[in-house]
Amino acid sequence: VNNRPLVRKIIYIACIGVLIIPLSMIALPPTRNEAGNTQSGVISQLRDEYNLSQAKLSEIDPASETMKLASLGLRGVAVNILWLQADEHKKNQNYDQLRSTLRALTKIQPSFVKVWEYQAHNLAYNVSMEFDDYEYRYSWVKKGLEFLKQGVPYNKRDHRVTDSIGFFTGNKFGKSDEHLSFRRLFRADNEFHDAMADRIDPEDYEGPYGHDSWMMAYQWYNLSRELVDVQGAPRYRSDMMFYMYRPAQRRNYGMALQEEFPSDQIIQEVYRDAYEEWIEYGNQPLTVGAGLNFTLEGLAAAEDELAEYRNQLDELVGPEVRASMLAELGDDLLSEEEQLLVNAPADQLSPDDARKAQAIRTRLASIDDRLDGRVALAASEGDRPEANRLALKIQGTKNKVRRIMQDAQTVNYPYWRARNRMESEDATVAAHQALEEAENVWRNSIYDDEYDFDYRTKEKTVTRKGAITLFEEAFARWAPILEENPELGDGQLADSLMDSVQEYRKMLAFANLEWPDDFPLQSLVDERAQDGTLDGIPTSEMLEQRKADREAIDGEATDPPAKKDVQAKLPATEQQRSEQRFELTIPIDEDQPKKQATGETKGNGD
Amino acid sequence: MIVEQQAFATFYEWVINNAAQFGIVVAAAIVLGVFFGYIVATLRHGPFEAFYVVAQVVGQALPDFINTSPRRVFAIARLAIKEALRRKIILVTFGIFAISLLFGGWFMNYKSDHPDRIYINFVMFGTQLLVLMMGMLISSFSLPEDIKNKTIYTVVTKPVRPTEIVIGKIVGFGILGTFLLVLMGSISYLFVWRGLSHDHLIAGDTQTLASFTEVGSDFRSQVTGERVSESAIRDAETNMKDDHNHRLELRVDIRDPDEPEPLQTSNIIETIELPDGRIEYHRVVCVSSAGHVHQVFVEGQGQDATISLGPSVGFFRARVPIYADELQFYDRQGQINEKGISVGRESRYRGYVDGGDYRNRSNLSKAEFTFTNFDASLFSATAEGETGFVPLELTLDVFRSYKGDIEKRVTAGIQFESIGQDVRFVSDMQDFETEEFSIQTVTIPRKLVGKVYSQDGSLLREGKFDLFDDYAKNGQLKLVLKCRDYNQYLGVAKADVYFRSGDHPYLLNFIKGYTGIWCQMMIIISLGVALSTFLSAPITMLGALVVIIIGFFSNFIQGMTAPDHVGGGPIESMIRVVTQQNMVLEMDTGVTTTLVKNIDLGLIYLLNATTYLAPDFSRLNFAEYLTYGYAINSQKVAIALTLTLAFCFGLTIVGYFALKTREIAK
Repeated sequence: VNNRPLVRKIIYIACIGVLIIPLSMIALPPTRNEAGNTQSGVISQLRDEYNLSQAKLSEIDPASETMKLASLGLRGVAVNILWLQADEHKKNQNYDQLRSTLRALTKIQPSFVKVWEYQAHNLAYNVSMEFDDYEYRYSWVKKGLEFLKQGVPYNKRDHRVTDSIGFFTGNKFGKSDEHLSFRRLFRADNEFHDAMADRIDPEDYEGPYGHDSWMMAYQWYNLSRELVDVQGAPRYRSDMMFYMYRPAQRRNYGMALQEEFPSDQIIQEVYRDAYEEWIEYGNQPLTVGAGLNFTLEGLAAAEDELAEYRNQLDELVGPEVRASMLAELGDDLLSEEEQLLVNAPADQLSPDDARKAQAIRTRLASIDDRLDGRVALAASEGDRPEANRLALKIQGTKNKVRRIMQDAQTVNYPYWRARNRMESEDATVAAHQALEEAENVWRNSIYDDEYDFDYRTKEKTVTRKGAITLFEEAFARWAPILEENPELGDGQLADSLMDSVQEYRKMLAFANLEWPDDFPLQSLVDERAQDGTLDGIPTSEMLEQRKADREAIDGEATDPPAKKDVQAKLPATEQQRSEQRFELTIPIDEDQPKKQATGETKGNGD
Repeated sequence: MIVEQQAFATFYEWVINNAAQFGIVVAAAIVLGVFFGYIVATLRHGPFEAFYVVAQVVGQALPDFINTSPRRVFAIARLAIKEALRRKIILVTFGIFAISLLFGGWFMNYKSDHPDRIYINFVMFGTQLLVLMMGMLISSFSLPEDIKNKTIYTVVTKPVRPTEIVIGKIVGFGILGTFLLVLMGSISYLFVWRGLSHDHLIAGDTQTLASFTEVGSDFRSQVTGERVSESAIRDAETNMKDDHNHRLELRVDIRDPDEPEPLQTSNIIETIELPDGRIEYHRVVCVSSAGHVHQVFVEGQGQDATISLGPSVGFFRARVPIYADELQFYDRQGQINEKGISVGRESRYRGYVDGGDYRNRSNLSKAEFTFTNFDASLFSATAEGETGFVPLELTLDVFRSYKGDIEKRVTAGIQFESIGQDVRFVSDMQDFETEEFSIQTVTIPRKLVGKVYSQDGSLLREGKFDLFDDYAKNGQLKLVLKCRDYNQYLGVAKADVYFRSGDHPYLLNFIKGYTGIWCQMMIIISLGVALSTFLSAPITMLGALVVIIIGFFSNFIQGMTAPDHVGGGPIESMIRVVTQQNMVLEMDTGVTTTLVKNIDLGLIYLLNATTYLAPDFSRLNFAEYLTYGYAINSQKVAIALTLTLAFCFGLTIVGYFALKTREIAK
């Protein structure tokens, strides 16, 4: 009885001892026994299964674990204090301290992906732009990337980290205002490439022109792909977006090289790879919520399928049913005025009318949607089930087609498909080279041709072509390319072509020459006329007007018709132009001050 | 990089400014103390008896203090030390310190641009935290434990005075703490020194010029793509050490025969005599990286000479700055603009100078620094002689209103003017490229090209004039800072521009830095002992902790209680948090708001009052100076020591009376 406390203590200790055995068995970290099999406790297995934290001893970061333990369960408080501190450091521009605070912060919450993303963005974007010297800006972008890279081992099964590194790498080095300087530094920055070498092999993003930032981005996206496709990690993006990023880097690579180096076969090859991979992306099965499976390349197939089902349905109910129903519906629904609106060309409508026309089209589309169902209803009693089945199929396929079109538009699929294909063709390389040559000559302010004139034979031999001629030749090369690829009429390539056209226009004005009647890229100019960004470049309409004016003047002319004949016979264009310059009726700058202003702003913004 | 927020007063100014306030506080404390004592005595003995009791206690106090015997104080101190050692708190503190140093590397960011700052911050903060905790623990547990275990009677039954007990305890713990602090400081010093010392080799096959590459035509390194200095002809890289490397440049320095020989000769690798008699020196220079450089040594001459790099230079600095007495901003029209232009930065520390624009070339925006008592004796040998120079250091902030030339830094210009002389000396504008977020050194030649104007503004002569003997003849000098790029802005604060008169020994600065921690520790120990005379151990500890927290965050608390603080007082803030109201929106007018605002006023007053209970620890904290490499002014140390002494003395008196009222010490 006297020893009761002692007995109690012994019992307690014994209980603890007994409980420790199952506890240690449950919590056993994975170890390898003599036979080479891995043994681990239930908790480790569960952790591993659900990827909750570092399950293997070798993966545990002692610094991180110590910090977590040292906060004595007040992790949330510690995190808040560190965040406040980080903000304070940023406010006071103590960027070194900011970085070390972030380091501590991510040691405490290493598996919180958004923290890595947010703070890396802070370093690579917000802090880097605070520096006046572009070399420092570059180094802070790198610091942001290196910081984000530290988050990879803590979030091994989260592709968002590698995705973000890819995005920051591409976007910051390749698209910021300083991108030319940044990319030049990047190529020579072996220190940075070595620092990244534990995750991606620098050789993998080294091209003929050296290490490339876009291809580095490609490699990071590639890691994300491997993570999801090979290792089965969860995906936090839609199929369409997730699979789009990697192939997109190849064409960015091509475009960056085009900006930095003269066009050549190397760049052509880059675009060829980009095209192949873009097509691969187009063939990648994409899934959306409702179990709808499709590929972006499958648009034609889906449309064929739709037509096929409709044929089958029409055959079932009789071919005349659909036509009569459509006529009936159309007549009923559209007044004469509405029909006029729908059929009018888009550029002739006022914004108000355009809206009305769009509403009518939407209404018609919904009629079209229901049409197949109605047609199916017209089937005879016996064919009804088959007709209904077909109507359902049609509806499904129609959804699919719509979805493909919508998604393809979101990622600009047709444009990049055409662009990559076009850029990998010899004709385009030649066109680029012609334009580059013209621009080089233009930069040296050589506008007119240089020629030898033989006084005896009156023959001219051009010894060196001036920028005007070279531009005209280059545009002539571009015209068929644009004609073949109408998708390219709107986009970055067309923009840069329009910049060249603008340079050409200024040169003509400077040399007191008239806009040619047969300008090769006139259709591109006309398309652009609708945006109001022409800035004085004459449209076809204006040229027509000019022609009409000229004819009218010629008709009214009191001079004897002989002069006309003389004029018509004149062979040299220069001479012709120099006489015609007095007849110039095209408004260039003065008549369109407003348009010019908008054009100027847009031009600078590009 | 904000080290010196505002101008500080010298020791004498501080004493004069604060003596009166100190006197009032002491007088008020005495009156309140007596009144409080009388109330307590009244409750115990009744009002009449109380009067005698209080008179007796006060009457005894003076002899007690005068007759305090150092011998007995030290005896008590010895006991206190023994007792504290037996508690092993010191050992545990030291153990934690040792462990944190051993594993500190895990948490430190070596890949910093300034690893020295990270190291110093780490050891200073660690030491401060541990020493203060230790001080708090040993002082607050001592007396209550003695009283609880009745061991106090073995002391009070001897002829000792309460003063001796209180002072003895403070001195004893103080000695122990000092010993620990010295130990930790020495180890920290070694830790930082060892952590930062490193050397490099040239990356390449040989340690000679053969490993160097020609510099590209556009002043760009072919090795790294970075910009090189204009006199560089070849460059190379060193190997990586501690996550950084340096670039080495081979620079050309051509001098006329009558010019003096270069001061530094250890890095000259080739000396060529040109046909026109001038001498061309080729020297290898190490470019700064991670906040330091290495001295370059060359053995031999020419292509085969071996190049080696010495230990790092630039980490352990204690710069002695000479700050301007006044900073005045002017706007474009030349009108005084008190704080400079605001470019919208969150921190209002710096004011901005406008670079004007191309339509407005006669831009008068500038920052004017006025130096008084400026003379050559402030500077070391560099300023002597005809070719002497004065180092000016700047930390400027650049704000670009448009990107401009991306690859060019924004240019600043400085100019010197005399003040209050018969004639006016104005130097030519010296332009230089700014280097943001780092301490940039601009060497000012002692002989400055400039003009002299008479009182009426007519030009008297042009030529080279002496900075000290002409411009600052009367000890006054005006420095004008301008932004030289259109549409760009330069940010500057008073402490951002200073002449660097030289460096103090780093060890001395380090000791001064630790003196700050010592002062904090002594205040905490005194507080612990004083509180423990009438409170139990846990409550004492809590009290000391509260004081530490208030002391460290007094600036924060005062900021929150400032009248223009956004979001209102505690209750208003709580309402805003709960109702998710914007901080800057006015609350709806009404009875509730008025009530809340008035209650808040009271609470804010109380909150503000608490900051006066604790010493302002920021005055005692010199870590920033060590971190950024500035010499700690001895006047500041003197102020800190005086402040500490005043607190210790005041707390001793509190402790004495509290102990006196307890039966044990009668």
